[in-house]
Amino acid sequence: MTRSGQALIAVLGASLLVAAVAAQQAPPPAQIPQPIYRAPEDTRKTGVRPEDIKAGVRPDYVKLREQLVTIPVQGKLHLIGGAGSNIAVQVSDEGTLIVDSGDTTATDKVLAEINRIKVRQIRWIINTSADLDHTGGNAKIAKTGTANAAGGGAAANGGPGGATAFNGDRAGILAFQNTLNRMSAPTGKAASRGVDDWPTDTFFTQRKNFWYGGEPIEMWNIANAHTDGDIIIFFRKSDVIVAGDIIAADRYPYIDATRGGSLQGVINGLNQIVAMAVPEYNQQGGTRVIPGHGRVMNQSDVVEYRDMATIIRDRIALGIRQGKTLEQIKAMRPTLDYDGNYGSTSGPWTTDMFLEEAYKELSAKPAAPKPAAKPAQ
Amino acid sequence: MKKVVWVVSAAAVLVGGRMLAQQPAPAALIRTDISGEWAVVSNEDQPHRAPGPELGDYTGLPLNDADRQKADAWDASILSQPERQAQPHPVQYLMRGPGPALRIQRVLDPVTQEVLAYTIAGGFGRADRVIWMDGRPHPSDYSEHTWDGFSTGEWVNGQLVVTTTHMKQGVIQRNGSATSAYGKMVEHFFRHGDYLTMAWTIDDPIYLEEPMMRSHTWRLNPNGFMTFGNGFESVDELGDRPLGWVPSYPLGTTHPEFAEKNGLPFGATRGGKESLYPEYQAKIQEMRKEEAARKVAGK
Repeated sequence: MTRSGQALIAVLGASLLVAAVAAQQAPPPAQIPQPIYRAPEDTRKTGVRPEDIKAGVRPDYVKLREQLVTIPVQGKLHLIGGAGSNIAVQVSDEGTLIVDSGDTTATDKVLAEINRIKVRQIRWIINTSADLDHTGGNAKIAKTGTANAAGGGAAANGGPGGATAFNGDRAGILAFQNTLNRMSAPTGKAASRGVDDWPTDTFFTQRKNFWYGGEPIEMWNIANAHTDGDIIIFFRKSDVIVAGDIIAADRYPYIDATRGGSLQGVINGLNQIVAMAVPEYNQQGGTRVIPGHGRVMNQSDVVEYRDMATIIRDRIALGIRQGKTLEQIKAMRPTLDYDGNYGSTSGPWTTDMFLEEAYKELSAKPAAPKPAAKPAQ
Repeated sequence: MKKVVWVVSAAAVLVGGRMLAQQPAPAALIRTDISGEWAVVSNEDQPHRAPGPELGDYTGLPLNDADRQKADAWDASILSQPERQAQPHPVQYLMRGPGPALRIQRVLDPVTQEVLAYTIAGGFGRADRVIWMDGRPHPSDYSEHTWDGFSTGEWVNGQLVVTTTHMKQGVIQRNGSATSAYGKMVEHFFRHGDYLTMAWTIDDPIYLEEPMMRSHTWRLNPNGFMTFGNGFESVDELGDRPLGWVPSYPLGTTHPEFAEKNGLPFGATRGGKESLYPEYQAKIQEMRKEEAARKVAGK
């Protein structure tokens, strides 16, 4: 063997030795155990610091949640909170789908958050209702997206239908038919919203199925609940239900009677979510629920909210059967035990507004929608 | 001169060394291992912990009016809802009973052997908890709340002090008196030989007028070797109730039976912050006289 060959072998041997020693010395990554039932944590705090939680001192929880926060929820779903309403983001290789687009004033920040977590362009927006705080970002966010599958060509799953021909290449917007009706107007009349905000695809059946992002997505219309155009969306593989304002968890059931909403409709919707959600054992974890407002929930939290709505409904209904007036019922304080959690004297939905709407509905004949005998599974 | 310097230096080293040795160790460094199997010692509040409290017994609870109304309306039949059948005791009640026997384990970083967390398993409904010791912050207000809450711990003068937030709303006594999902619980675990005592307070912005305090004790039980079966399974035990059935007592219902059975004035069973203090005994006597006078007057 030549001298240069020997030198080469020596260098290779030394390299192998160094590599082997280095490999032995490199510490394995620490195995950080995670809580059994908890979604990954967001360390950017928006809540009350533990040291500031005091008996009898109620913080302004609504204000605390104004800061934009993104947390992974489960499967492919993320929650962006603090954008007016909650926004759910499904991130997949197929594209990005969002449920609701938040308030107009938050759109730029929302887009920055979506850009941080997405891997492909936004292709779908689903609206849970026509509310401005849920649809305010429709036009601007849709314009940043595309109807086309990555790499061009025809969109998978039908894309946004013929809407592209009218609206150009942008993300499609899916909603219940009444949501479009609320945002648009017949020819010759002024629409409440610009055409770019309008849903491009709508449905009017109780249920619409859709496969996107590697999982089945079910959209269920809940009749006459928060409004007459509400839908809940069930991401079946991720096991996440996006509830819209069927659950506005920071306030009493949010009934917009002027747009077809009713307390009984909200309760029916809550019962349907309870029926669809499956907890892991001991009522922990399992199906996660993203409400229209407030924190991530599971079935137990929805049950707590449903029970509150039902108990207050029953109290008001009993008062009406006993011949009590609205003022007499208010004097009974039928919400006292829940006011700390859901009550408000200011803002878009006060305790008084809730009681007045509930009283009106429960004293009317015929009553609003009857309780669902057996929610569809 | 050299000798003097040497003597002074030696003295300084000796005295300084002793002084340093006498400095108390930093509070965070005084630790006691609390891991192991622990058997519950139910010598405190046994009637509340094992058989369970009676309806309307809010004695010693700093409830506010909202919580009192909530508890008065609480109907135990609500636990027959299929969707509540498998719910465990919330962490703010978990240590109260029945039991629980505990298995406390350390979770060590496999490389540095630092204590990353303690886990507590045991008792009613698989009370699995994680207490993070790695300094992580409590999560966002948007994060999920769980029956076991989110707990972080630190060592303070030999006590493991655990702070828990992000709990679900749940009972603090098995008769409907509740704390909200927005409370904070602080537990102090301290060990004396084979005994483990835990004193805890709960601050609740929604339902309590003042922090509530309780304490519980366990005895080391090396032969415990608890086995854990499956978690609770939900069943529909009634079968004839529609989904959405929510039993509750009508507004205005009170439960005077506990007071009558124990010869207490009804007002003395209603709880509230003043009922926590010794001076309240005098008030109970006043209430007793007033109640007797009302009975005589036939009211």
